[in-house]
Amino acid sequence: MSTTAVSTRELELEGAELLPTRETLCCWSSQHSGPSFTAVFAQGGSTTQYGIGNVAVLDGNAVNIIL
Amino acid sequence: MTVGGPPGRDRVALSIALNPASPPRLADGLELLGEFKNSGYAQPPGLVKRADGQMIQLSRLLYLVACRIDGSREADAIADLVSVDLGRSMTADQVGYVISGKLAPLGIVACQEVPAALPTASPFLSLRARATLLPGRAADAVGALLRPLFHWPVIGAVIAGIAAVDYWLFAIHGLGAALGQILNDPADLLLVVALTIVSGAFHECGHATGCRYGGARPGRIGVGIYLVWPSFFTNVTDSYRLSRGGRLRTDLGGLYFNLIFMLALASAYVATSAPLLLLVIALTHVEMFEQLLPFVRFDGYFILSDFAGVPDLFARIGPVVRSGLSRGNGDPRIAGLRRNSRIAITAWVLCVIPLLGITMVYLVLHLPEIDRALWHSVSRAAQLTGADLTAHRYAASTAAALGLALAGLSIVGSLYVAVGLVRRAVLAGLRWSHGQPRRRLLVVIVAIICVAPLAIYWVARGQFRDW
Repeated sequence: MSTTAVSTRELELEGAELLPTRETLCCWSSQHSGPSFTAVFAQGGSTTQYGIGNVAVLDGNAVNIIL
Repeated sequence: MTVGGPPGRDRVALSIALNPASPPRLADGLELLGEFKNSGYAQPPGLVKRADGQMIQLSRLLYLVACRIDGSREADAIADLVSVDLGRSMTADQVGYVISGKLAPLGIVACQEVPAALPTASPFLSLRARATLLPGRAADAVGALLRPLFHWPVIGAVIAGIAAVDYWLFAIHGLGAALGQILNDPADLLLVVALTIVSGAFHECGHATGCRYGGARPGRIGVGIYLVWPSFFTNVTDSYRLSRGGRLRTDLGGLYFNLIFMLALASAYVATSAPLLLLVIALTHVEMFEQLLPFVRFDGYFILSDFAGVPDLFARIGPVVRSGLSRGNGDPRIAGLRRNSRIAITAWVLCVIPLLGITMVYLVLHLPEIDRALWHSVSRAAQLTGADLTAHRYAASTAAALGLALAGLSIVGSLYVAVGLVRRAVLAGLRWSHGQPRRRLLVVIVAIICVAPLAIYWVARGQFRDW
């Protein structure tokens, strides 16, 4: 039986890959209103609201509610 | 395809292979798991699991060689057997090269000179600061206990039930009463928070159960920090050994358990008429939708990965970019993929690069003002926590303390991500310029070009004022 030989070039290209640990996640993200939570305060400082919220940072100051 | 043996230069390199006095043997505790099922590669790779739990994907040839190592066969006998398995001839020298050059450094083959530390995967954007809530055995027991929930009649009943609940809640009843209640009383908010945390924990039990149902062993369930967020996690690494169906069941198990949790809440609502329960049902829908996003390691990422038959999508970003830039055959990690998998992964990479790139650039440009806003939130939350505590408003105090903790954690997380970015960039620059003074000079110049305008931008926008 005649078979083709494996070449050195092919052998060099043979590879292995270390697979990452497979970890499913469930985040308490502050970017959405899922299981996240933040006590939220109005910008003026005099009003306090409570809610499942998001710290808004686009203007660098306001902290608002997204519930 | 080359016919014949390797050229002379390589014969010398290959002759370091084996000591004939001691036939090669596999490392202690190594498991050969067989072919990676439903792979996206035209030639499906093989999977092995080291004693430390590290999974390794081997090309077909490497896997065939590993399979023929039994501690008694010499290299020539292994070469004969692998030649038959492969349908192509291999020499003893080549087997020696594979063993000493490819398998031994990965800890697959036992060797006299044990490496100081075996290589392990260091994945991009992975979970950090893990702590265990349920050890592997307990998670496995939970999975075994809840397995009946994955029987088809149960699945059908759950889906029909949740469809009815959703229709009633969103099309008929609405959420107005629940929203009004929660904004008026922080104690109710705490109940919502507690239920959503329980929902998250139950979600992870769903992954463990899906993994167990398919025949793999779930690992521990715990908490950690993902990017900047606290997160539950379940280690389902062993599900690599499952078929695509088994892996997808594991991926979707969390969302399926969210449905079951919502049905339980709906049942509790029937018994109590507490509108807050309806709010938690609505929030769980949002959480489920977010879980389907494939751009970070949420459930959607693993679902896409399993449909494509490629285990680590983030590790394909570099090869896809390099394959796009090169005119040759490209990276074998991409060139060896089936067409559909290659299209899916390329499309994912084309989406994820701008998305993550823009996010990271935004974070770097606005880091001081982001942290300033968070710091103001922390300060205000601390004041409220103290004031509420003094006034014996314990629920409000607890709500404020939770806000304080999450805002504080976000500060730490943003700094951690930024420092990680800088560290990766610096290490890449140092590696690229190692031993080459001209390249090193170029790295320094590029660093100055990046850092100086950034500092000017921060100062000009007043990002260091009003802290």
